[in-house]
Amino acid sequence: MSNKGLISDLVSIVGLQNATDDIFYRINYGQDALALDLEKEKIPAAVVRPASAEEVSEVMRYANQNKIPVYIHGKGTAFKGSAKPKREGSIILSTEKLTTFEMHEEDMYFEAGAGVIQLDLQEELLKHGYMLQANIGSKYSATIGGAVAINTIGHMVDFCMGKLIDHVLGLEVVLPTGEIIETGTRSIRRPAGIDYTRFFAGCEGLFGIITKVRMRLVPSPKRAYVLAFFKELKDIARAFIKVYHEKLPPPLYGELLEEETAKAPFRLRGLGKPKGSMALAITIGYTQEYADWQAREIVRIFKTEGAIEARVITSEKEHEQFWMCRENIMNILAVEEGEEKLVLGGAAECPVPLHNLPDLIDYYRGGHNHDILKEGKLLLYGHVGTADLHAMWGVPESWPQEKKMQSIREATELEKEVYVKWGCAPGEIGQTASRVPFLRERYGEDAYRMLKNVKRAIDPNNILNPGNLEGE
Amino acid sequence: MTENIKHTETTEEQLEREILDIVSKCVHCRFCLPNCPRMEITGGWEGQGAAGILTSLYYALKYGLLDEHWEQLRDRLFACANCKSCFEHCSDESVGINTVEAIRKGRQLLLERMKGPMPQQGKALDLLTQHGNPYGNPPSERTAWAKDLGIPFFSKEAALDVLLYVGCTAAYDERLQRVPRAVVQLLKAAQVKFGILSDEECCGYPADKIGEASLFEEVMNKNWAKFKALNVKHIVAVCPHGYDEFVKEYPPEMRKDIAIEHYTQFFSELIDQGRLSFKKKITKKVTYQDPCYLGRHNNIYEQPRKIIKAIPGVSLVEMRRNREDSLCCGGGGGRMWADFEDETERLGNIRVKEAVEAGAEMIVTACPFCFINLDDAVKTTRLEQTLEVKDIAQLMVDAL
Repeated sequence: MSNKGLISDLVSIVGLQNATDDIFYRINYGQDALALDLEKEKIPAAVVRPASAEEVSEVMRYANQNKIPVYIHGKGTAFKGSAKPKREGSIILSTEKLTTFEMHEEDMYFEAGAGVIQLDLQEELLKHGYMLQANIGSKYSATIGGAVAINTIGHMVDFCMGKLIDHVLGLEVVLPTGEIIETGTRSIRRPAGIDYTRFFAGCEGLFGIITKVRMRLVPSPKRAYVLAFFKELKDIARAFIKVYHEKLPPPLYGELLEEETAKAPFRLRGLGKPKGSMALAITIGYTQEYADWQAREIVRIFKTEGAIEARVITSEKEHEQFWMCRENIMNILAVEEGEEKLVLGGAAECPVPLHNLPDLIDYYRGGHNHDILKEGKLLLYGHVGTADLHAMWGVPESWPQEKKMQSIREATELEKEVYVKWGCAPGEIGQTASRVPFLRERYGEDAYRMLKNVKRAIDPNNILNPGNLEGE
Repeated sequence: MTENIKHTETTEEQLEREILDIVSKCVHCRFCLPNCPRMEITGGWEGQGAAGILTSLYYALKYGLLDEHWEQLRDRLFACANCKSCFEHCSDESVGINTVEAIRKGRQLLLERMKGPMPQQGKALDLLTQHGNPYGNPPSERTAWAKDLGIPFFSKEAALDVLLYVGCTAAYDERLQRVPRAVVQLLKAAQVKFGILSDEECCGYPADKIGEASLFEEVMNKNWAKFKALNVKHIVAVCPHGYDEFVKEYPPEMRKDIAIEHYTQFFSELIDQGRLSFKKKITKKVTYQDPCYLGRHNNIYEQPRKIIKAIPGVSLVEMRRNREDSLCCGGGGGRMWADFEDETERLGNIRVKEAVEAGAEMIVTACPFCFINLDDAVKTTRLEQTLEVKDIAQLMVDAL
């Protein structure tokens, strides 16, 4: 099919304002947050922005009739390549025009279009006294539809909040073949047994396109804040392990930032030199007293585990300063005058069994055999409260592009080794695209074949996000 | 034996390298996009905004797309208002790449390749070359705004402390001429010994921001030579764009020799020193439009607010978006000389509505471009009866 014909067909579905073959728009929608470049031949043929589930349905029916691959784009912030087109001549379907929002306080849920930006949703819910049940690093631009498709809560602690699936009451979904279905319930009582929602929340766009989410309303709880500094990073891990072993309620957040990693963000935010590696915890409760009590207990444990300083912060402003050092993590690549600029090389996200947290730190620090990663500057941070630590290897910007790319690939390989070694799985960013080798090795070929068979049954022409399950 | 030939980098090659140096650090987080003013007034496609423009530039160079697709890239590159909102968010929330500089270099590259700027911007640059201002007004009328004010021309002999640098827009635009006249009244009230240039010309802002580097250099050198010859020690600029050029783009040795201030900084100091005070009460709710080249570009947020608060009776109300989050009026980055077909709304219209939402009866600013855009906007949106538009200098004069 000629590109002209394709565009005119898409215009007839979504209107002139929402279909384009502009070369630079196609490139931008094809580029995701994975540092690997978009290959020239994979530049998509068109971008569409349907404004309703009906329009999404029509696009998918059209794509099926013409066997055109379709890639779903929330904001393209996924780190492992799932949003990047892998076939030639594809259509990018952006959910950005699906931005409806309805509060149903009487039934304790809200409904949001898949394209609603997470930060906007968080602020809207807060106006009504509720919280968003996810806090993802990319919330400034990323969509709620993308978060549900990956089933991620970002920084939050699973044991405290659950995954997003635990809050999604139902979905509106367009199947790869174009049918629109509704899943789940409008009751606060979730379905027992078959719950179609579970096929799609966390399906990474393999089985359908989420166009609307229905989520329970969670009243915004009272919070208390803990700040601590430790000389030894592994002591932070041991301290959080003890929080669990003492049978305390899990905090909403438990974060760490290694001393070296903390230097640049501290400097940028005028906080001076970090006293050591930083640990942050946020506890919650329906009463302030309950949140405060948990915070005091965590401080007590931190002190027994060797904290140089551990205290409850009562000023939200003070807490915010330290929190932003951790949350806006890309600031760690900021440099002082005279230093060589580091750019993002490989990055890894590894949840491990609680007791292996100190071992993971050793592994990141050099227990692996990836020499190229050892050449970079290791920056450690992450969600220690949910046993999920991140590593980022800052590499000199003077490195040749291919060497930087090799660093990215080897970090993905390192993640796989960790998941397999300790029997775990990625906790934040999804498991397809560049992570498929993990999926196959960790769960075996029988499980992988089953997944492919399900995909084939739901998407017989393999037109929805093709290549992601194949590991391209 | 082979001769060792040293390859000298061409301007184009240098620009390409410098652009890629900056752009290749973008991690495509797109945190800049929700805050780009262009996203509010166009279809909102992701090819807009800093992330969109820089990604486009990167691939245009990588895959050699410029020859065939230069027009699309040009229309986005030159539509950027240089408001720096992208940089604020990139540096606070992400990797902090110099988005504004990459866009400027992209513009320079398109000019090198004869693919830019926008035709009307090119015309403004021609007029600047011919007449010393981008509007093509006769140089002989440059000081017409001041003819009945008895202001001395700056000279070595006149023993003046301050050079008042007016800028092209305030000097020639009839609506704007009230602003330098108000500034003069205030300088006189504070008994400042000041003068103006008899032959003031453009500071070079349009050339610099549109990407005509050699024209900017020519203009800058001419002005700098003039300041040196006149032994200027203190410049007070009426226009934030001129102020920004002087403090950022002119030679560093000039900044060493000459104190450079925007008039809001200067009057704020005079108020502190007790040399300028206000007697008349103005009972109004006033909001302040942060000009991008004072605020985000130069961190001048509080001095204008201090002035407003110093006026008896005035109650300062803030718009929803203020200071670092302020919404650009749409006038920066050379946009005053071009229209863009893909824009369906004007930023000025959005801004005056926000001022009314904040409960303001008057919106004041300290930039000629902001003034023009806001003044046009109250007319377009029929808010003339609800919201008055003034420059801070005019508000101060009203309260003298």
